[in-house]
Amino acid sequence: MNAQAMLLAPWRATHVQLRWLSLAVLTLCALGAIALLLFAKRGEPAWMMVGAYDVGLIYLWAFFLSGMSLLAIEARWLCLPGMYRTAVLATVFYAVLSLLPTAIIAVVHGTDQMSMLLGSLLCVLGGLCFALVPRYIAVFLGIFPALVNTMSRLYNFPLIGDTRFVAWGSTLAMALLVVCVLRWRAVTAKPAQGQMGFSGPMVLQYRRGHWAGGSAINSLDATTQVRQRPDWMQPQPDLRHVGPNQPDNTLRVALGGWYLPRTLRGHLQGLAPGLLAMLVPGSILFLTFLGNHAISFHAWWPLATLLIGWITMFGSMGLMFTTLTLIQQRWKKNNAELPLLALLPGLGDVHTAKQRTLIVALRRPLMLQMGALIALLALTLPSHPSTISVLMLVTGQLSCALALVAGVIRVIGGRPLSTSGTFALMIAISLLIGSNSLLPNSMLGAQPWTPPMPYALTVLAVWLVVSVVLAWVGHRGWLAWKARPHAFMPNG
Amino acid sequence: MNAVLRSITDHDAAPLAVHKLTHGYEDGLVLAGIDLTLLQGSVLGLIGRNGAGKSTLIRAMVGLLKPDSGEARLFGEPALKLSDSVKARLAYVPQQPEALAWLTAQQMFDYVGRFYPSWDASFAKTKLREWGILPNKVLGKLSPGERQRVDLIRALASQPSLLILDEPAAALDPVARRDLLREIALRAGEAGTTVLFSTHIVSDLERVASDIAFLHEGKLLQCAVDETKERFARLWLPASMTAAAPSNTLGKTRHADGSLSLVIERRADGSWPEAARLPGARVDALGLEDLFVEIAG
Repeated sequence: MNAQAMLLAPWRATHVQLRWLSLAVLTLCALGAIALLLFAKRGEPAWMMVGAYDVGLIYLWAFFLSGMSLLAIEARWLCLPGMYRTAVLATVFYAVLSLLPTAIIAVVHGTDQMSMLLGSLLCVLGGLCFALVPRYIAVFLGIFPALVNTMSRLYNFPLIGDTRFVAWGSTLAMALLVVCVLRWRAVTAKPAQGQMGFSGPMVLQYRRGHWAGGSAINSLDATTQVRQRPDWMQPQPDLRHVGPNQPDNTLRVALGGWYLPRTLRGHLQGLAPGLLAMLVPGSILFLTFLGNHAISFHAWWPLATLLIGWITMFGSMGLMFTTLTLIQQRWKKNNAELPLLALLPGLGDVHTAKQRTLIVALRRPLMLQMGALIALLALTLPSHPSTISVLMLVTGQLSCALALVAGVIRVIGGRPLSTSGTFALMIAISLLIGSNSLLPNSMLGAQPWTPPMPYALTVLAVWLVVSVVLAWVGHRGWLAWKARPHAFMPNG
Repeated sequence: MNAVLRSITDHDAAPLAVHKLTHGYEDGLVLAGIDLTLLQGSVLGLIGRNGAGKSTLIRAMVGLLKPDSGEARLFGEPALKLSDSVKARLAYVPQQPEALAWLTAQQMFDYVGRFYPSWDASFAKTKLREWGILPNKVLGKLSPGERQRVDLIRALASQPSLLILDEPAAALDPVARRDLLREIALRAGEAGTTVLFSTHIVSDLERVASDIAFLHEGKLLQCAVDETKERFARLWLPASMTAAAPSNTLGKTRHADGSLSLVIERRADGSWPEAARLPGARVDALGLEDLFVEIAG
């Protein structure tokens, strides 16, 4: 048994970007704990510190330390029993080590030691469980705390601080431990290639760099997506209106993804997973709110406004990133759709095909973004909000549309934004949309809230700068698009 | 088969003509002024080592890549600006095709077939059955070999006049490979289809290609397959005679004992270079594979 190998196992099992991200999250949690200690006026300092640490623990075990199961899978399939043992022992060692800070705080604090330790243990096991269970279950684990919170109100479940928590929490920890052990054995019993589907563990997805940040744009691959989906979730294309006389639909089929024309059954199949995924958190929210406010228009309208406002704003931004990712992916491969389209007769001359491709790539997402803007305005304007609030909302939505146009034209023009450029754009727009997110709800009521002028002007000024940059990026893309011999030249 | 390769003369009429094609990447020049004309009914096998630039050359030929200089023409039209009528006569299968992963093979044929005036739907259906591919299975879930076969069927069902295949046999099993070669020979022999395919498998070239083109260090060496054994040979010179070795050879290997092996080519009058008549010199016949190894090894 090599102690050094055991200590280094998490480093060796994870991607370098993920290591940095994990360090950043832990640092943020530590800073959060210190900030809570210094500035919080209510609550126990020890509990606040443990709470902040527990948040970091969940992340660490869900995304970083769970990577040791990847090491175990490879060790098993390369017939390296020593490495497998190292992975198992390292997991146990780091689980015990994870509880040490909580134990120290609990000892210093003097009371609630068991509750504190149990809380941290649940975070360790919960995080590991998230990484090991099948993906279709893992997507719901994120709302598990909210579910427990709601159930505790409805059915009087004991939470931390309750005298019954130790007994209840111990039972839950045992159950999670059993799940973790069983799933570890199941996951390491098969090769990684056979578990990439929807029923495969979450941890295998980390290999593709989704959680590592910068490479997310490059990791989406149509074949991988198709392979990961069960047959019933495959899109059902509608090929009735495809052919030389219907170039737009033809291009939509070739672009695939959410451009793909679908049959009614195909649309329902496409929407079902999303609706099912929203059903659980929606029900929890409904139950929580129902318990607090009963059924009253005055109570529900602000909530509906907040939800619809967020869906339209963040949806518009998500649509832009999803579309950009899809178009980047299509124009990256020189052995996929582009050679087929480039040599397909019936799409018209070079100039016509170029124009049609750009129009098809932009029309649907832009129409949806405009629809979102109209919905947002229809929701908020009846309350007569201030001009500056409306301006902030409109600027945000229009900038998302501008980012979409600039990004798509760059890709089709053969000058796609670099990964770092795309990442910078994602961060800037996410932060700006985040700074607008309080607006829909705050505009309601007899006297709508107006954001302070310095705040509003700062946000608008940043939007303006981002828009100018986007216009410049788009202009260069437009020139490249015009100079390109035809639309279907791969960028890879 | 009327298989002839010749230098650029009447490239406007040729199914494929490449003139002074040059292209490079960050790490250097891959194609250095390639000239090639392919006449109706010829079957050209393009061979070269990994990274020699075969796929780059093919992509430039079909207009998927804008070369740094030079041009490729298909049926007289620039490859970067093909009309629908030329596209209808052309089929291209890339290396490890991945197109339309979200469609089934049947849906893909239904989709693509609408654009080709002479699409042979029954051929597509029969071939799918013969090659054991489920028509209703989503393409993304097929194995690389199955996907390659689907794309080959797609290309053949359009009944092209010019068929360009980038390593078509790479992912195929021996049975499917032989089927494909038979189909290529049949198309070229009976329908007069012009075929260009790249490969690493020299026996495939010998089986169907009428002409062969070696791509090495950006240059193309081309000749008829039947002529290869007659035209090229290995010249072995003892250590004492190496000073008299010809300078302009295709491949040169110095052995541990100081002797030298060279690939030599017959002169215009059919004779070997003077060095072949030096005392102790030996001329050995070269098979296609030996020739490839001698040139590119």
